[in-house]
Amino acid sequence: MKHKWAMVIDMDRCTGCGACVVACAAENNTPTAGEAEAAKGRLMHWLRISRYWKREGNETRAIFVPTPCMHCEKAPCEIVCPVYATYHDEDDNLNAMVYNRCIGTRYCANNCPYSVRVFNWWNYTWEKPLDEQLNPDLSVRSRGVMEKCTYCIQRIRRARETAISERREIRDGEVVPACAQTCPPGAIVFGDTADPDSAVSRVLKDPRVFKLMEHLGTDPSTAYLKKQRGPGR
Amino acid sequence: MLDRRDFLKLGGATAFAALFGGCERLPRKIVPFVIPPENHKLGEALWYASVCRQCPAGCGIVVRVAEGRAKKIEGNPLHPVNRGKLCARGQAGLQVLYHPERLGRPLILSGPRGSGKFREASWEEAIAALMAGMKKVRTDDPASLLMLTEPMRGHANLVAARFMRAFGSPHRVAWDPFGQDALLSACDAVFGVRDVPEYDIAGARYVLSFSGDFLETGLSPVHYGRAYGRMRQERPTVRGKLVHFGPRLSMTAANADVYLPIAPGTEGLAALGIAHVMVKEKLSPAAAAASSLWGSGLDRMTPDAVAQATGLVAADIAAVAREFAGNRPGLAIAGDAAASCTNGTFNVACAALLNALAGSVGAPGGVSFPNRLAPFSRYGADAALLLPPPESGYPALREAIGKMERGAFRMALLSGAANPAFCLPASLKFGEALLKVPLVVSFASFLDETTSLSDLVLPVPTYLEEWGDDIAPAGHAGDAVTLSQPVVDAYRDTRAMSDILIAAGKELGGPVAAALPWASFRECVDKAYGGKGVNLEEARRQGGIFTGKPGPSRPTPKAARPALPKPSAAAFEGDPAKYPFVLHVYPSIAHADGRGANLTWLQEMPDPVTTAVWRNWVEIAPETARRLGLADGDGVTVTSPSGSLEAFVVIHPAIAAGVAAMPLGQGHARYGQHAAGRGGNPFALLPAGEDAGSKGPARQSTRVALAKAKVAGTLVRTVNVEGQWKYENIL
Amino acid sequence: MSDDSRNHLARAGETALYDELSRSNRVTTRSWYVATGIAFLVFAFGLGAFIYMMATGMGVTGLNRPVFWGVMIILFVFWIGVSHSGTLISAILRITQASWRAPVLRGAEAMTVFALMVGGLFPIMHLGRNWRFYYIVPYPSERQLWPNFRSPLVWDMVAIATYLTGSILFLYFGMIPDLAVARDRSTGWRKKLYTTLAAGFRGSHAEWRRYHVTSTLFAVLIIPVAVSVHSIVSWDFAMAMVPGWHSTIFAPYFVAGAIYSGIAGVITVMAALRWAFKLENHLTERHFDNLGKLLLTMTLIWGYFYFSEFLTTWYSRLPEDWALISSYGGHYLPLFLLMLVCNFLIPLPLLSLGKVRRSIPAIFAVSLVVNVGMWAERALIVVPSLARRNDPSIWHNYFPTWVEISFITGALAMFALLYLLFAKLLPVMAISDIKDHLFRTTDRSVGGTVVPSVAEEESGKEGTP
Repeated sequence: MKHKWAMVIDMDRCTGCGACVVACAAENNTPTAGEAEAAKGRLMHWLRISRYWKREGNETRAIFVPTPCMHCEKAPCEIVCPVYATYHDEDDNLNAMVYNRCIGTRYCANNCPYSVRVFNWWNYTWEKPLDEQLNPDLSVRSRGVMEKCTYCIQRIRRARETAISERREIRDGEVVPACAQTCPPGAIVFGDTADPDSAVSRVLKDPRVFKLMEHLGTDPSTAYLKKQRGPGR
Repeated sequence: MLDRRDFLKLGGATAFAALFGGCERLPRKIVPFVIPPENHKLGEALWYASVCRQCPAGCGIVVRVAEGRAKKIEGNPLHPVNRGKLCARGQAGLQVLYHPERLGRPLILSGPRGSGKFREASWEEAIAALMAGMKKVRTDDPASLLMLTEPMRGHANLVAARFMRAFGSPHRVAWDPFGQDALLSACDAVFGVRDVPEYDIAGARYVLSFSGDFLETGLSPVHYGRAYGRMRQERPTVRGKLVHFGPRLSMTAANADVYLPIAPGTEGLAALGIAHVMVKEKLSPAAAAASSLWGSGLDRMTPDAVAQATGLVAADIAAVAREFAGNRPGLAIAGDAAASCTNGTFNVACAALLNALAGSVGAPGGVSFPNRLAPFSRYGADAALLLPPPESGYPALREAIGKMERGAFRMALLSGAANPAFCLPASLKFGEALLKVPLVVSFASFLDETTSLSDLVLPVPTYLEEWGDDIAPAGHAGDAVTLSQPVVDAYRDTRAMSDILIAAGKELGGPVAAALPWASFRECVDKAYGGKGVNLEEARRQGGIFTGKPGPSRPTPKAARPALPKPSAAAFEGDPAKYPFVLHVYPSIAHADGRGANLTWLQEMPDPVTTAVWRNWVEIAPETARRLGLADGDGVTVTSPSGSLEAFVVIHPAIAAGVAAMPLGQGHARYGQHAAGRGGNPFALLPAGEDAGSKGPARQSTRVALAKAKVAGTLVRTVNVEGQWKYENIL
Repeated sequence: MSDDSRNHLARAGETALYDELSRSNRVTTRSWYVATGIAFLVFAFGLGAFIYMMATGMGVTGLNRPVFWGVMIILFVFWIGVSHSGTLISAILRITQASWRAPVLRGAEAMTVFALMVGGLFPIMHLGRNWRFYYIVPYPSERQLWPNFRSPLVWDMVAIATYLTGSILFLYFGMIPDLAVARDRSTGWRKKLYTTLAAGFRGSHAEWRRYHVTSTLFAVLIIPVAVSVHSIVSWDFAMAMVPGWHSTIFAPYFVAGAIYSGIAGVITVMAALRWAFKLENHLTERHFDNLGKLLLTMTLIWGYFYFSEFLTTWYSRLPEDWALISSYGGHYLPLFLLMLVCNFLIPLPLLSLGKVRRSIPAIFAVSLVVNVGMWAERALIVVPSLARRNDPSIWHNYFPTWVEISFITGALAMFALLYLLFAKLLPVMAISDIKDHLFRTTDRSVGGTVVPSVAEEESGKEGTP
């Protein structure tokens, strides 16, 4: 079964609370950088919330943009990796990462216009017993390799295995990445656009849909819904 | 050497023991399983349902457990409060469970009192010391026992209350700095019900927020966050509108369609300005019938007068009033900053009044008062113990401090979840008073400022390792009781506080033993819910008893004819000439009362508004910065009449003039390597003031001065300070 | 020195000429030991820092998100650039048969090889897992995995490997006659070394013919290789969709910059050789004057390319590019000014003056200034574009740590060390070419008189291309 996973983030629902960031870090064995490394711009979060300010006359508004990997169909990161450590997974239409192939040229990170890629600067350690919390479904990355949001591919794989063992297709809503699962306002919708009846296919028909830096032609799988403004004052 | 028979016996015994994981039995180092227990399947995980105790909201959680290790916490989809969603603090609970600095052995003081120097001891020794103290106090003067905890709920509260009652001491204090005192008093005054209302945000069309913090902190951020999402985009043709009045653009305000800055403490006036327009222009049936309000002073709250006092534009007040009334159902919600002024009850009551005027009381999309204790009618008076009103306990705590000072207490039992030494104004001198109590016992998982003052520390399990129950203070209609269970075997040598009290009761004998007749706390909970057609195991699997049948709402006798709340102005300590800024403090979304500060995930979570991590900051307006010659990231000393600290400047583009804002929760002195030494504690800047109406703590009641200073280190902001203005670049 | 003395040497015979030109090989002064010692120490420190980085992690650098490439890539581009001119000068001067080329050739060709050796190390050093660098090499692996030939980094690997091989061969073949001379005139272990390296060159007619053919072939072929190498290096940047990198002018711009940087490097190295090994007779003011004129030409060409690139980007004010340009006037202003001053504002007026070009200390200083400016230019290409890239929320500045600074000094030291060893062991001056040239400007006996004459070999004759 082939899938085309996609994610839609409704900026009108998103409150900027940051639950998705911590949920992603908990799910994906993300190391803690610490204050000194954070000061150097080396936070290891795969998902960040870019909080912008926008001035409109006398008023200033805050805009929260949760930024996971866009899983571009024409991913600029894939073409520049010299060793195919990042490639396009055809079965799931994901931009996939092979940690043990990566030699750490960091060219993919340079070519990602969304800057969603993160590099392992050190061999991060977890002070015991915090390592008990590590998710056994995915690796802990060694130093020198790139990593990024995978649309929780470990959950996709599990759902696929369960579906195969039960001789059925993956149902809509069965695969939920950590960020989408925890988001209180339900701003993140995830699903298979190859299924025309899925929730995400429906949401993608909304006229509010837009993609970040669309003019660059990366064709992202992560889309956004514009924040609306109430009428009147 | 083992022979085969012994080997299998051993293996079977281990499996048997493991099956009953969760009892107060220690894991023994023994050979690995030959016959693994039923629930230990490699590669497959089990999900255990329980309750989250990272904040008072009481969301239901399910925890993914693989090979006996908790791997991920998610919201329980069946739980009515959060319906499968969970906030950042809830997600970080795994770091509480597996924290390297968790206490694993009882600690007995080995240095001077208050030094925080302990030596490890055995449970026998610790319990012996505890019982010796208790027995002596019981004999000499039972009323000199003080119990100071966080607000407890469910049967844990019942056990603690019955213990104290049977012991003979009336001195139980439940302390939560962010209690809802003003809200309770306001609802009592306006609606006639002294309870926390349910706000049906999901069904509302227009929400007025008066310093509301319901999306970030407050009573139930996940529940209201979810409701907010539904208010915006769930209904096909209706998109709810949110208007926020407040001294600072908070995270909640950032999501509003309109943010109207007002001077601190004037939320009530702003609400009355809107009420004035509604009544004057008869914008709703209830407003049309509110002539009594008009006569008792509402007529003087003209938009111009209110604009003068608050800093609003008069036309805005009228416009909002008309929109609010014209887009019913409408809701008005007041938040912590409005409630924690010296006129907090007034502020909150005025907001509540707007609900009455909009006809939202008891209506969908409005305000209601469900009977959340409906399932416990059989408990009689004790039912209130299962869900006490979420007060701060401030008056009781102040009284207790006074009594401590006078030497009225011989023994104090403290719960580690409350940290008064950290989150009380320094002027109350809690630490010094506590040391006047000869024997201080803490039930805690971590050494923080308060537990470090103890003589005896008894390690308790974290909330992920405990049996129990809970009723959420908001987010349901009396149709939900949450059941908690250990999701992993206890791997530290801990005993739950309730179990210790029950065992102590048995040893004390007499009425205390009779008041707590169970063998363990688990038996207490089992007996409370088991039987009478309840399949307890099934209920635990689901995370609670969710009947789906809401109880009848409580009547609101005063809502039909609301009275005008007595106007009062907010008072701020400090001479404006010497302290030119009003200090606005707010619980940070990551740390709230400070309990999350020892978790790296929360320290590294960027603050939604400032995107700062790992350290404290003070927010000022651009004009203020210009005037004082301060740039983003500069060091300053913040001085109030009560104290001073150092912090870093964040220039906030949407904060009221003359206001300096600081988040609460950072600035620990003792709470582990991640929490300690991260800047000053803003609680220390606060005066010991109180809200006139409810006697709750008045945090927004002081002025401060800012002076440029050389502060070591830098404030790390995860969003570039220059780039944050260039949103167009990514479109 | 005057022509008289040159003719005197020509008359005096080969031995004197050889002795003078191979002074660096025969005489080991104390200053050579000191210089080599210092170069070795600095190089060793850099090597130690690299081992430390390899053992601990890339975190010891100042790199971050979004500036994932920093000093190591700057050094890579810089040294590959420096390597250009060696071969280009040698090749172009050979083809155009510039009469003044002889003394400059060897030094320039050696520069290429050593600069390539230094520069070619950095793509391996900057890898996060450098011990797995061989994944990028196309070899038939059991996993049937080949590298991604669409990636500019793989093109880099191919281009640099080709260029390095080519330059080493170019250098070596050119040295064979000189090695033969040295073999004939040396003793002991040197004789053994030169015998092996000279590969049995006896100076026969056929050998000389092959030598000339090879030299010319190499000279012609190395030019496209050199041009392609730096174009490919430029495409590491131009192929990326980073504002400020994605520019069509990058390939010619980088090649021009490389030649610029390289010629300046040649001037520096030649001046140093002249002073160190007392080669005043052979590296005269005229050589530096001509090199100076080449340098001036490159100043103008580089300036032209830079200006066109800057003008179009600045004029259009596209938001992404504008964010970058404003940083040139903001955080990166010092670096930008350094580049402008050192690359253009100082060299242009000074090199226009013949007096400056013919004063060897002055032109030496200008060449150093140019290379500082070129280093700043590389830094200005790599760092600000990343630091102020597409998504403004993650903008972050970059400053190198002691590890990266030790790479800067270590690279320089390694280059110097290689050059010092080369000057000690192998013929640093192209003796046969010089002899060739001297032969044409010498005294000839015509009848009973000795007259000074200048003669040019006719083309078409045997032994000439």
